[in-house]
Amino acid sequence: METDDILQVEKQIQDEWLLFEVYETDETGRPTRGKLLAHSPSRAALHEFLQKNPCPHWYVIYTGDVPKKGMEVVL
Amino acid sequence: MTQVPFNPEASLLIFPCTIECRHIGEVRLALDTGASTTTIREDALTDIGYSPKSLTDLVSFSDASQSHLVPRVTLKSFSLAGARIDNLEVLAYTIPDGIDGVIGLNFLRHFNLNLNFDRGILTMERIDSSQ
Repeated sequence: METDDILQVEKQIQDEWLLFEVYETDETGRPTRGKLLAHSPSRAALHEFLQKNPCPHWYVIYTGDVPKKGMEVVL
Repeated sequence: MTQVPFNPEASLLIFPCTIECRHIGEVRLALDTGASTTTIREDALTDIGYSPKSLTDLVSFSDASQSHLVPRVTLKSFSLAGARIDNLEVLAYTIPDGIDGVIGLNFLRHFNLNLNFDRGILTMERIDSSQ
């Protein structure tokens, strides 16, 4: 089975949303190995992908700054 | 006891969380002790198997600027690392870009929390032993 090191992929693709199928997680629950299914600057694009291609165990992460630089956030 | 690392310098404390319905989703949510209820992007909830048509239980939701009606659903389970709550009610609402929602008090109050900013470690100790 083709697998990706999720942390490495996160470092390679900056400022985008990434969608993985998850194969392994670490003891803190963070996904560590999986397969990159899609990536896009748009979160909605990953939702569209999953609606067309349901995945039993997926992981979504944004690799840009949160919040964006210069922004302050009150939740 | 659950221990999870975080970046003590970050503007938001963001943690990987697992949400489960028919499918399992791994999302990143901000810890928010000011939120009464855990809130998750509606897209993510439909991606773990909720039908948009099932999101009909609406509750009033107030954020910093306004009030509106948002759907409420019950997850099969919600986990932050080893800290898991079954049948957790969450709200379906899209938080600003970069995260998929917030971890609110309806999850956090099941645990004694320690945010160690010196070491960048969140420690969670379950309060009740019912699960």
